Parts: sequence; C-alpha cells; structure tokens
Amino acid sequence: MKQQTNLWSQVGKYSIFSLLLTFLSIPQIQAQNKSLSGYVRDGMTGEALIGATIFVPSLKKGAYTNDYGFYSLTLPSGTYDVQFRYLGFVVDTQTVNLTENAKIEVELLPEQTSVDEVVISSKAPSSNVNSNEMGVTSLSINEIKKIPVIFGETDVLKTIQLLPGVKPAGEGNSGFYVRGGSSDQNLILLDEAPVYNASHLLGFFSVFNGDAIKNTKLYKGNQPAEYGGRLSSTMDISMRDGNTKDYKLTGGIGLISSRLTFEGPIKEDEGSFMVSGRRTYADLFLGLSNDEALSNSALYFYDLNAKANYKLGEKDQIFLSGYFGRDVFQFQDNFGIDWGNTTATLRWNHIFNDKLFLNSSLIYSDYDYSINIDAVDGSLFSGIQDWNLKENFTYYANSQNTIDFGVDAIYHTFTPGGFVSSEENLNMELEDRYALETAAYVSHDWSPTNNFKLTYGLRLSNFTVLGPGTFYQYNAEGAVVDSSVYTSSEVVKNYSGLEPRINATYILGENHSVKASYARNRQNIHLLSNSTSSTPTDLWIPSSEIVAPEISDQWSVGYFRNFNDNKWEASVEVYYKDLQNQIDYQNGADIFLNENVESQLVFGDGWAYGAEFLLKKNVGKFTGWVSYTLSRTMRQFEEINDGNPFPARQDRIHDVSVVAIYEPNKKWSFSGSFVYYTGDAITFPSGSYSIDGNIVPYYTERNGYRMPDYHRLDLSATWYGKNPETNLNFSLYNAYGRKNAFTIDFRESETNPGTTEAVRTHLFQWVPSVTYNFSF
Amino acid sequence: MKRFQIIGLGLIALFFVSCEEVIEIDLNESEPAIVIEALLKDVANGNQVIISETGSYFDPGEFPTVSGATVRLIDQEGNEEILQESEPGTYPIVETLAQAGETYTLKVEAENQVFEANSVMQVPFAIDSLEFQERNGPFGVGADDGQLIVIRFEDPVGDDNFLLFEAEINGELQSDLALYDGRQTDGLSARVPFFTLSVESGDSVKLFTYAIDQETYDYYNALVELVGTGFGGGNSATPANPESNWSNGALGFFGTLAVSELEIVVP
Repeated sequence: MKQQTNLWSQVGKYSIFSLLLTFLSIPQIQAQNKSLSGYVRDGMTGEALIGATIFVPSLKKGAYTNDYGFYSLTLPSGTYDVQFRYLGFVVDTQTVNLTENAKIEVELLPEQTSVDEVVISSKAPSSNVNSNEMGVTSLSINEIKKIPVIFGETDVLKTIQLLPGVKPAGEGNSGFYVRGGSSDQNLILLDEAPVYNASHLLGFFSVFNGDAIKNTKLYKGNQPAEYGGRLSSTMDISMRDGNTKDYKLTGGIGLISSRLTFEGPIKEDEGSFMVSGRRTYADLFLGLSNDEALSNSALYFYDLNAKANYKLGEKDQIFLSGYFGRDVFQFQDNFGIDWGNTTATLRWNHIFNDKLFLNSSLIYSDYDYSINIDAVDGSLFSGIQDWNLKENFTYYANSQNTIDFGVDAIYHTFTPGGFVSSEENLNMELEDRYALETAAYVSHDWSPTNNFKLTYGLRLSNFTVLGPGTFYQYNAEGAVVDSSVYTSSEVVKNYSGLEPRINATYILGENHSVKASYARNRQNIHLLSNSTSSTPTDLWIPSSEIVAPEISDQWSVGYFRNFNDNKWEASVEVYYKDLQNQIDYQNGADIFLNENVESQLVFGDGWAYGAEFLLKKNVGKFTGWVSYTLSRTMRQFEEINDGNPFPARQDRIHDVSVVAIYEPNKKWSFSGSFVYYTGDAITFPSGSYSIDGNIVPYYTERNGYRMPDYHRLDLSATWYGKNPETNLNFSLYNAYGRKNAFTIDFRESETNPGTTEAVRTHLFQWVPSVTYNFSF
Repeated sequence: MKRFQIIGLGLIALFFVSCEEVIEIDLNESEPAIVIEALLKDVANGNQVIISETGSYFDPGEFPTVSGATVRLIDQEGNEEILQESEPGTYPIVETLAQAGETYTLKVEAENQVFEANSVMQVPFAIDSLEFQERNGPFGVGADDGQLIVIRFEDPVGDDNFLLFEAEINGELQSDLALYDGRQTDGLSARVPFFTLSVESGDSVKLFTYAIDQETYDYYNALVELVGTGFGGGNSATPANPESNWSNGALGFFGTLAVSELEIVVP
C-alpha cells in the first residue's frame, strides 16, 4: 500500500511538471505576442465584476475576469475589436491596436431592465456550454433575490438547495447535502474565510446577509486544486466591495428582521467601504409581555458584514473584510445559549506584470458557543479557531495556457469544551487540540484548440496534529489501554496525500458540449453532531491516530446543450463517488463532553451515484428552471447493520425543484418555487420486547424505513418603485400548508393505553411575510 | 401596545409552537426473536432467567413466553445448576450463591438454538450518603415538585468502577434506573442525581447499589437511552438494539450484580 502511494506520487509529479514545461515552451517559439490586461468593473457602483467575458471575435479567443475583476489575455500583435461582456450589462466593444503590452480598464453600464431583457444570470450567455467547468453552480445576488424564502429573507444557502445535486438538510436547517455527502463535507467560504456554522436561529436563517453578498459559486466536488479540505463541495461566497462612486444607504424592514447597509467611496475610484447589519427583533415584543416567563426570555440574532478596499497605485490593491454574528437564546433565568462566528480576511492583490497576478490572504475564523446555566453560575462551551495564510499566483502564459499555483497553511485550534461553574466538583475541561493543515498546488488550464479545453492540477495536502496534549489509545471495547503525553508543537500524527483533479471539455458544436472530470479530495476535520438539526452544540474534531482522513474520489461526465439562441440551457450530469474512512457512532455513543470521544466512533466506507438534470430559461418575461436528481448514497460499516450496506440518512432517491419567475412589467415580479424529495432514510423499530417490565423497541436494520416524502410550494410577489431598489415584497412559505414531518416519535397511546402510536411533528404551515426594501 | 404584543407572541409562536399529529406508519412485522433476561445477584433470593419472544411494536399485548428450554448455570469451577421452569418462561436460580470475582456462564437451549453468555461478579460498593435537593434551578425545568435524590460517594483511585442504582420509595420498587461511569471522575467526590425520581419529606428511601462490569454498564446505558425518552425510536438519529452478551443473536442480557443497600428517611 505504502509503495503504491509513492509510485503514484512519483508518476503524478513527473507527468504534471513535464506537461507544464512542454506547454509553456511552445509560446516561446511564436514571436510577437502581446498581452492585454486590466480590470472590468460596474460603471455605476465601481464593484469589480467576477467572471466577466473578454472576447476577440476575429480570433475566437477569450478570457474571464478573476475574483477581483482582473483579466489578462495574450494575443499576437495586431488590431482587434475586443468585446467586454457581463450579462445584464451593455456589451462594450473597444478597438485595440496591440503593438505592445496594453492595459484597458473597462467600466460596463447596466442595461435598462426592460421587459425582454431580464437579468437572471451573471454569466456570458453560452458559458455553461463553453467553460471548462462541470458540477459548478454560480448564482448572482440578483438571481437569488427573486426567489421566495421563509420570512422573506434573501438566503444564498436556501437558494442553492434548489439546484440539482444539492439537497436541503431538512426543514429549518441551513445545512445541505451535496451529491450524497454529509453536511460537514461542505467547505463554506466567505471572502475565503471558512464559516463553521452557517446557521442562525437553529437553522431557519443562514448567516449570509443578502445585502452584503455579491456572488456565490458552488463546486460539487470538482473544485480546482486551489480549494481543498472537504469531500463534497466548496462554496465560495464573495462579499460586495462597496460603491466607489457614491454614498448609498439601503435597507429592508421585515416582520422578523431588519437590515441596513451603508457604503461609499473612501476616495473616488480608489477605494470604497461597505457596512451591512441585520437584527431580528421578534423578541423585543417579549419584554412587553405580562407573563414573566416570556418577558425574561430572549431569542434573537444579529450580524455585521464590513469590507473596505483601497488601491495602492496601479499594481496593488488591498481588501479588508469581516463578519461578526451572534445568536442569543435565553430562557427565563434558567439557561441561555450564545453562539456565533467571527471571520476576518486581509487580502493584497499584486500585479507583477501583465501576466502574473498574486493574491495573498491572511484569514481568521472563529466559531464558539456557550450554554449558561444560571443556577450553578456555570457554562458549557466549545469552539474552533483558524489562522490561515494563502498565496495564490495566476500566470497568464498565453491565450491557450493559464497556470494557477500557490500554498495554503491553516493553524487550527480545537476547543472540545468543558464545564466551568461555581460548584467546583462539577467542573471539567477537555484539552484543546492543535493542528497545522498545509497544501501546495498547481493547476493548468489548457485550450489546445478552440474545441477542446483541459484543466488538470495536483494538490499536495498535509495535516499535522500537534501537541501539547495527552492522547489515548483504545481497545476494541473502547477502554483506554495506553496514553502518551506530547509537549508543545511536538508532532503527534502526520497525514499527507495527493489530490489529483482533472476537467475536460469538448465542444461538439456552437451550442453543445461534453465534459468529464475526476477529482480526489481529502478531509481532516470532522463534525460530530448530536442531533439532526443544526444546533450550536456540534463539535469539530481533527484527524488523529484513531480518526484517519476521509477520502473521496469522484468521476463525472455531462452533456450540456443550449437552445434557441442560448435562451434555454439544458444539462445532464452523472457521477459516481467513492468514499473512504467515513465516520459514524457506535451504538449508544456518548459524545457530549467525553474525553474519550474517539472511542465512540466507528469507521467505514461509502459510495454515491446519481444523475442530475437541469433545464433553465434565462431570458424573457418568464424565467426559471426545473431540476431533477436521481441518486443513491450508501454506507457500510463493520459494526453497523451486521456489516451490510445501508442507505445514508440523506439517501433521497428523487429530488425535484421547480423555480418560476414571471415579470410582466417593471412594476411587478411574481415567483414561485416548488420542491419535492424522497423522505430521509430512518431507523424505526420492527417489533418490541419486554425487559424488566419496560417495553423495549426492537430494531432489525439501520435506516430501513423512510420519512414521508417532503414537498412544499412557496410564492412571492414584489412591487417595485421608480428605483427598483425600493420595493415591497410579499411572500408565502408552504402555500398549500403541507404538514411536512420534522420528526416522527413513538409514544404510548393516550386513547388506547398499552399500545403505541406514531406522532408526527411539523413546523411550518403557511408562513406569510412582508418586507419593505429601500435605498437612498 | 397590546396589539404589538400579540404580533410578537405570534411570531415567537411560529418558531416554537410546532404541531403534533398522530399518524399511521407501516412497520414490518419482524420474525420473532428470542429474548433472554437473566440477572444473578450475590444475594440468594429473586435470581431468575426469563425467556420470551419479541412481539408487534404498536400493539405488543402479552409477549409470548418460551417454555421447555434447557437452562444451565455453570460457575468457574465447572459446578452446574440445571434450572427448572417455575411458570411459563421463568427459570429461577435456586442453588447457586454468586461470589465476587467468579465468572458465571449461562447456557440456554430453546427453540432448537443454543445461546451462551458470561458475566463476572463484582465486589459490592457502599454508598456514603444521600443528599436531597429542592427541585429548582437547572434541574427544575418542567420537573415535578418535591426533592431530587443525589447519591454521594468517594470514587476510589485507579479503579474504573461502574454502578447501577435502583430505589424503593416507601416500600415500592421504582422502575427508574440511574447509572454511574467511574472512568470520568476517577478519584473524585462523585454526585449522581436520580433525575427521574422525586421524593417528599418523610418518605423512606431504600437505595440499591449494584456494582457491575463494563459490559453490563454499556447494556444498561444503551437501554436507558432507548426507553428513557418515552418509547424511544425516532428520537435518536441512529437508534439500535443495546449490545447483548448472548451468543447467537439473542436479545436481552445476562448480568451479575453485587448488591449493597442504604436506607434513609427524607429529612
């Protein structure tokens, strides 16, 4: 096994570097190539446009802007018409006489939103066919804002769940499952900072404030080599930079919460800032209550996003962004829960020359919670904290070759928790754990012909568990057999491995293409959750001598076709995913404040496969999409289900989403979304027996039953004022009042004692809401 | 003002007032499985082996008993006691007096299958005292009035001891159980609250402390988790049968219990 890995790595290294050398040497022979580079921005707000297209029709060559709006394109000397386009913006065509390297800064102006030019995609019209990306979903905030969600709050996480291959974790849960993976296998990045718990109010809201978000991109396992650390997906969310032209105040007032955003230039066209805050206030009414139990209780969240950027000359730009959010739940004077995330990102873009772009990031992320129990003046706490340094270079070698390479280092501090109170004999504190996660990667985008595109890359990832601390070994029964004490910074355990990634696109014709991809991912931090909803008490643990890294291999192929002048997009993707070292609990596991939590875990394998269908209409009065996913996801553990394979909880065989948006005129917009999916796999008893006078349920298999199928329709209507940013939104969640099962419990029947009955709990039937949005 | 208040309460209600409804669920009727419940205490009376079968989940009625089984109890030295059926499915242990440190083996032949389990008798463990606390504070939410029983003792250093507690209140044995795992608080003063019981001043409380081995602890721990929350099932994300020490897939458990008692009148 060891030898095999070494062989692999040798082959991998050799082939990658020899290929790189081969491709990079080609352009050296061709003479007279010049580069064209610069930034593409929104002419009204100065916001950098991500993924805008730069296209030279005469050569059929092009490029996209990166996450900072920067592009670079190498062309033979000559005079060209160059188109700059971004959907929803007027195409800007500039004639460029390229006799030497040139810089063009472009500001695109938004189209007047008229009846038949409705913007719902941020991409170039045919990019789904032509780009060398599959298993990727990109949504702009404009698109997200049109879709109804609970309590009228724009929510990127909820909207992304309406797309194929992405499934909601359940009612009132902002977690999601991608292609059969569990919810801790998604890496959620806000301006590159990992967000460890993306839910507010126990999952009814996500932590992402729609007013502060610019763009969202979800890679369903085929992420470029730049990203790593989670098996199922990487969700990359960018915050808005703030208006560089004018000061602007926008906000929204809703039944549950209100939002306010202030932005403007620090110095016109040189730098800008944006501050956006949100708070729910349903609990303020509690204070008015005569009922003491209610007036002493609290339930709210607030969050704050802030970002600033400043240009330091032509070649440098710095960005500072941050997020801070807390949830507070207080029940009378008895107990309270308080949890939240804090992230901060400092970025520095540096352009060495027209071809070499560097982004350096210093990132901080913290998630923690505490539960306060007033009677003993004590609190339970837990958390995770990261410091992360990232260097990412992009080398725009020529119009056929782009190379991304860089390094990434994260220092994790895990606080598994403890209990501290005035009663000393109740106190206990588990040791913190430390780990260093590093990676080096290189990725090559190659377009040898206009019809064929290849992106391949390699990520070498390393995870080192560091002291200080006491680490235990366990026998098969989970009893401690030995322990070792490590000093500060001493290496406890090291895991490293290669993650090859490859994507290929072959363009069959003007409007259709086939794509294939393979990716390996490794995951070294694992979430232990003691309930099915996104509760704050989830616990993150690192890989260790006992917990090995989770590994996935995903193969996928797809066919993409556009119809009717790119007005309709269609795609089919099929995938197979193999999962190693998956984690589950022993029967009767106790993970709460358990020093020996690792002894409670069992390790096994899994596999998932499925087909994803998407049909989307992008333009016209009537837009929207239909998505259908047919999939299975299975697990196999020696210790569970007599070693037989069983469906994972999220094994939802059928999953359908329909989104329809109708905009008859400039005043009104109507939308509806419908979801249907097969109920979760669940374990129910198949009989019972008596022990010591108690009736005990008898289980015959793991996840052998199904929850009832889930379906729901949401509706929304928006009235726009003269300025479309001033609008009034009405929404109705669960319009036909489906009683979807949140849980199914069993209890002794009240009407017929001695027998047992099943009880379904459902959460929401018809949730109406009204939100007023404004802008000055 | 009043109206705002109502809106506010309504919104809170949206979050917390979830609705419950009794629904029909089809459960497969499993093949009946054998259940063997055997307890051997280090005192002479009340030791027996009960053999039964599983029944329907929703309407269990009476569980079928298993008669005509051959049940043998064998100690470490090979002495064997053959148990006689006293009533259908019940096989009392009458001759064997269990000793600390001895391993006992039960062999059961029933329905043409053979089942076997072992257990090691522990040394009895004495409890120092009981403490009674008014039911308020963190443990008071939703609880009955009355007082909470807190069991106090010094955990000996170096031993991983496991304890099971049962209580008799005014001469009536309660079906509630409390458990203690000595791995977490080795060498410290331990306080184990008996969460599910409430007593009043003047009540007579007789606490039975059973010293058990880890296997028995794990079994009872899983059992309490399963039946402790109403009827279990669906509450835990991954419910499963408690791990039995019977061979051949029988449900139930063979446990040896080293008994000590403490009787106190609630002040």
